[in-house]
Amino acid sequence: MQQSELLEELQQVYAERFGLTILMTDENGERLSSITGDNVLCNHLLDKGDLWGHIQEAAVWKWDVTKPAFYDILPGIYFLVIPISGEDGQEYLIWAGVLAEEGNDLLTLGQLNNRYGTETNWEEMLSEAPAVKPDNKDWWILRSTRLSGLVQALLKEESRSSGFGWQLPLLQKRTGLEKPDIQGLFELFLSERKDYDFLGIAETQDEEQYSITNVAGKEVQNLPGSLFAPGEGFLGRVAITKEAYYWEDIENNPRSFFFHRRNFYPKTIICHPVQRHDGTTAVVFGGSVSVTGVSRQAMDAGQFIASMLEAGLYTYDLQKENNHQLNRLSSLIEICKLMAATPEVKRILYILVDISLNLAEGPFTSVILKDEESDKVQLVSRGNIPASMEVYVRDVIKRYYTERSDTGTEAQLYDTSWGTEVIECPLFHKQELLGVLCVGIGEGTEQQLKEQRTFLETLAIIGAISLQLAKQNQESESTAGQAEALFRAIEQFNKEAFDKADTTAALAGEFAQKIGLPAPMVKDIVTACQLSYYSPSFLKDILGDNKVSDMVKEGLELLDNKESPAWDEVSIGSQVVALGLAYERHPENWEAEVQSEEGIVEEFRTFLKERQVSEQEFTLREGISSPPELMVADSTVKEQMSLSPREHEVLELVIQGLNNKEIAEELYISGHTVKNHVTKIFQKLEVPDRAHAISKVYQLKYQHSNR
Amino acid sequence: MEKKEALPLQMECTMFFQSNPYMIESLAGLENRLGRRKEDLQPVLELLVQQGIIRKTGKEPKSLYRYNEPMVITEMNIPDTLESP
Repeated sequence: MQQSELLEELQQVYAERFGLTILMTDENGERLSSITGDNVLCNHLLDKGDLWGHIQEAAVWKWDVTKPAFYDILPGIYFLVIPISGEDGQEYLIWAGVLAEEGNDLLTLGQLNNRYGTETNWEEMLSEAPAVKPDNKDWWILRSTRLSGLVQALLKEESRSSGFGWQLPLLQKRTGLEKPDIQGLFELFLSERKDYDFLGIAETQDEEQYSITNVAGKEVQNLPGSLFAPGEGFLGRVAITKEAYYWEDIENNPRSFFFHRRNFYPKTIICHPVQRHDGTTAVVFGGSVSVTGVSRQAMDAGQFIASMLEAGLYTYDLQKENNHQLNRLSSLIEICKLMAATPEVKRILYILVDISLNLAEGPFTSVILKDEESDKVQLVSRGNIPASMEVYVRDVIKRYYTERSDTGTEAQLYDTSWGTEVIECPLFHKQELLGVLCVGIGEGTEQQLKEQRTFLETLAIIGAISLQLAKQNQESESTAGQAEALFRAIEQFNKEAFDKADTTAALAGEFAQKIGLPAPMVKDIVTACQLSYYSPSFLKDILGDNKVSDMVKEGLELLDNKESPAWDEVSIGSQVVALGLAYERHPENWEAEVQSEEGIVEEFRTFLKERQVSEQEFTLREGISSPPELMVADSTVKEQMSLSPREHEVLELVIQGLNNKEIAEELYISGHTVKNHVTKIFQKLEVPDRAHAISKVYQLKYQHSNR
Repeated sequence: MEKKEALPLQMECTMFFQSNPYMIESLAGLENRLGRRKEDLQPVLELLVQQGIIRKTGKEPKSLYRYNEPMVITEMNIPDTLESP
């Protein structure tokens, strides 16, 4: 250590300057420094005499001095005893000597001769020793005080520079994101800090009580689980003020009774608050059972461990919170999936009600739905429905449906007349209010309420969309059923019209698909063409306000020119219907019917041409023979691969895509035999499976034909 | 804290029962179907029984669980139309 070298150096300088021998001990009489200096008498006595024994004896006394003092270690022979307080609370003594008392030389000489014999030249040694006289005592004291000051400064520097030493193991221990090992940290702290005898932490049990959860050190075995109220005793005070505090010499302090009752008798206590993520405060406490005072360093050390725990617990809590949010998110995803999989109004309402109850754990949850046209109110609920529920439902209807005041689309918190708080989430789709999800909430913190509200708001948004989809589904399903019935009816009384409509619908549908219209519109176009036999007004009566009847109406108008709507004024669906109907009326001269040169007409023309070509091609093929079979495994393959005639037959069927069972039926052989043949073929073709076999045959054939 | 952690499982169970409203299942059966441990499932099921989302019939350990449909009131004005599940 640099400081200890400096200390030795200082000792050396002082020793030389004042002709003294200097050494340092702790309060147990253990020597801490080397012995420096050339004070002959002192060195001789240390060497040959029992001076060291005397020093050790004297060192353990309670030196209740704060300033250097003279101490006659032998009659007439003095040491300057210089007390030093270490930063760690330890006391040290510097021994500087020896000095001879002036005027007592003869007496001292006699004593030395008596004790240690006369062989030594005591007289010379005594004369060389610095003298103590009444008028230079203060000077010696002053010099010693200077030395004491310098040593103190050095020690302080040392403790500061090595201050990180004890903290390092603690910092190393506290890594990772798992829950801090509080007990382990405390024990490590106590092993590093000798000024602490115990360390513990008290955490909130509930709103009114704290409980000591972890504790380490001497005599603390009865403390875990001890409860106290905020404001009660030392710990309770810090819990309430949330400020660090320390108490010294507390043995007779009435507040110590809390500890005494548990057979624990601390002399000091140092408390630091630790803020938790959930808004509560924990209290870290520590202290000594032997020393009555608290040093600045002990306070700082307490602050250090408290800050460390605060950071560690905060990280852990945040991590936990994060996991929790992720869990909720994945739950939401599951809910979305379920809703998407079953777009059914009843199921969605059940999900909304059940999941909200899961989450809020309140007294009840309800979805309130009101039919826009009639005044009927539907209610799906769970939990304990209070008698005054009806009043509440009326109130919700009034606020959300009748007044439509400041409700907005966000979740609202509402106090019911019977005292339950309710989170109300309107189920909005676009501007339409589909219902209101009302969730009574249970007990919980502000934070929990906030989380629930966000979750429910999201649930309501998903719910509203799903409800809308389910409703649309229901509507379109019923319309589709009706349309189908109407179309089939045509067949019953006018077969020709039915066939025409059927052909037109197929044509228009194909065209609509070709020009890339969305699937639902294509469906509507097909339906419109199928039902064009009926008058648009009849269709509107039967199908209601529906796109199909509009398409029929506009399509006919475009052709019949009655009210002359321009082509670009009507929907593209109606335009396609018009084209389809024009072709139905005059397949050869449909353009005369249309009388327009819109881009879509041109497209229709091209479409018809292409269609004709492909039809002709089709006819051509039909004329020749049945579709060609894939008889590619010709004799080349048979010869090259040395396949048996039977294997060749099987290979042909394999290439045509038949499975083993089908091949067996075709060739009137057993499945087992087919399997054998196939395996052999694969071996001969050196292929692992059917796909590779087919590929290989094509390959061989290709090579052969190119030869 | 514990409640919070059980929430995803609670929702999973709720949705499972809801998707299979006619299923009547024992704890062991649910353990199989959901691939969850009995120790985890038991408290969640108890909670769902308390919340009224599922019903428990029979005595332990042979209890059976099934979905309990929510209450549906089609018209508020006449409470008699209350449909029992």
